[in-house]
Amino acid sequence: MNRNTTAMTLHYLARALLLAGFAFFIVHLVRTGNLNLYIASRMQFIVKLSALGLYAVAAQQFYAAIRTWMDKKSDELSCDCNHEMPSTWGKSLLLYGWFALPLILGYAVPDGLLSSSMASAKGVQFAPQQIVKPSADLSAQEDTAPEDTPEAASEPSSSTAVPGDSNEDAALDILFPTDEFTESYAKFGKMLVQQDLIKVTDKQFIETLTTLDLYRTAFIGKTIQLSGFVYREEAMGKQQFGVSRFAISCCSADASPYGVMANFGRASTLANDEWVTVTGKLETTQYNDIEIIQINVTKVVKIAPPEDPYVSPDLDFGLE
Amino acid sequence: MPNVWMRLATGAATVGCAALIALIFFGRDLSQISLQLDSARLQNFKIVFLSIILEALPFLLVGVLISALLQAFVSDKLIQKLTPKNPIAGILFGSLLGIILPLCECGMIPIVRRLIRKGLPAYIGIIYIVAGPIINPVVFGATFAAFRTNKDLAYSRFYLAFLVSVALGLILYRFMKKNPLKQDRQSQQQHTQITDGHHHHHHHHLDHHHHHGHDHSNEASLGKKLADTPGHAAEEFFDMGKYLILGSFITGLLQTFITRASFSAVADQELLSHLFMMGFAYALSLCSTSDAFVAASFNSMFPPAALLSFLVFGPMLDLKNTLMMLAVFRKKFVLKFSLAIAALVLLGSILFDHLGFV
Repeated sequence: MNRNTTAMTLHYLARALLLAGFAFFIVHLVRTGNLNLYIASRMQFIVKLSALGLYAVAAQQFYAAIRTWMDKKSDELSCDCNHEMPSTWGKSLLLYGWFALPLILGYAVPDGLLSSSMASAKGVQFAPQQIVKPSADLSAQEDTAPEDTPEAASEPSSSTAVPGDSNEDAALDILFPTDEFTESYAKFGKMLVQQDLIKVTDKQFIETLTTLDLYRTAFIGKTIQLSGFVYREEAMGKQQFGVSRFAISCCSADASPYGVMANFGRASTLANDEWVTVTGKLETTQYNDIEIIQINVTKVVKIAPPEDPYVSPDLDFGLE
Repeated sequence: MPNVWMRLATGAATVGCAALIALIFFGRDLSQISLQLDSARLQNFKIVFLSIILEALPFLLVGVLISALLQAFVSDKLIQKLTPKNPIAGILFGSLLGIILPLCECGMIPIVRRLIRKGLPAYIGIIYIVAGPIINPVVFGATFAAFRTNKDLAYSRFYLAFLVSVALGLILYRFMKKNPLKQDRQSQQQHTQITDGHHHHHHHHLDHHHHHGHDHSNEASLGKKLADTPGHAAEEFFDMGKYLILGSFITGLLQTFITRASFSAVADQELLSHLFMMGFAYALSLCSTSDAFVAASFNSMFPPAALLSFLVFGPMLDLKNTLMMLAVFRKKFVLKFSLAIAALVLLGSILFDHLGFV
């Protein structure tokens, strides 16, 4: 009887410790700002809430441990829920050790970022227009692209200087042909193309890259600025690297990497996974048999990784 | 106590074997693995492993809390009274329950186990596990956001999920004669066959083993019931959590070591591309609220019909929820049921493809 009581007390204690461990781990991540590394910002609130829940259950288990010890009664579990405590010490150790594993890993391995080895395992998307248009459409568009180019290349650079030009709207419509799928991108593109320096923001990272890629003819020669980590794959030239970000929508398990190819004379001075802000003019290049956009880099600034290293699909895009 | 150490050693050996099997599975020899387990990969693994657990914790917690509350406050009689008697109505109810009770599968499994124990016909509960993660408003919103340019695919996801669920419900209703729930040691002896829904024998055998009142819903005071709730929740948390951690662990390994480039070869073959995307969905174990975005990133590589397989199969069945189902249901049942889901989803998405829906 007494041995049984001790065993139950230890069970409750172990459970209380583990539950509290998870709760404190979440609090720890929130405090250090590193929750961003695991969970997309729109999901963070419920994860924080769960820390409270875990803590409450931990407190109850701790209380149960004390009561079992004081009352010398082991039949506390008066329910028909068919649960059983592990029957042996070995099994218990295995069970609680298993729950401790993520906590040990969480505390012992210092927090870091997803690295380019993960990006290459998942495959960086350098042609985000494929998300909007399946690959069949890409070749069709490439066929028509050359016809538009002469008009496209000269028109915007001359007309942007003259605001209020009545031809401007018509010219823009030619540059931004739409179908029902690309309407919001065209609208966004018409806004972007007026800017002298197009900054790719974190909030609309994917949407901006998709727009630049979809309407590349309108944007060739424009100055683009974006931040990301340096990523390389074998097929790239010596002067090339990807400026990449992971996009997540819930947690980092669903991360998919997006990037823009950069061409930079002194690319060798930049190490993989280093964070940079690059500025340069947009051009196109052939890569893995498809035409993709590329930034001909004029300026690179090494930066610290941002507090939130991930970008998310902007759910409001095209709805406002 | 040599006995204890024997048992510990057995456990350790099991873990070791599992690790070796994983190595063989990944087709790498030991020397390569040790080289590749550099800090970057460890970091990648850690991030994926922990992020799935952190993301699932709130849902699991809500699931075990609701289950504990059901245990304390909802009587078996009430459940049986509210359950549709007509099987067709029951199947529709199970398929569409997610619209009112939108939960992730991590939260659903403990609730469904509780409901089945309380007398909900098993086929209704199981259909909820399958349909709920897709047919619910949250996933609806996410899917349309991810596939704003391909609304046909988004709609097809919900139609196909609904059709597959109804078909599964009919199959379960017709062929499932035994209680699919795993029986614990105590009740194994008394386990009798049940047909749809009526299993009053439930209480009798349990009364033999515990000394005090179980039918909380009738006897115990409100305060006692409330005080018991976190205890039940903790029990179930540890019951389900171990499988969640195992699922996250394996998923983390897969994501860290399997490269996407290695599977572009299968994308052109119709059947293979379907099977592949289903296998991929199974291994990834994504939450159904985010898998649409991942599927969208495959738009360029795979035909839409294969993405449909991914979108319907993944939430219905994946590594993480198979492990959690194994905690609750009998092995044979989980196996047969999984095969049925796979076959139906595969047939369905090929059919949708040929009918021109996607």
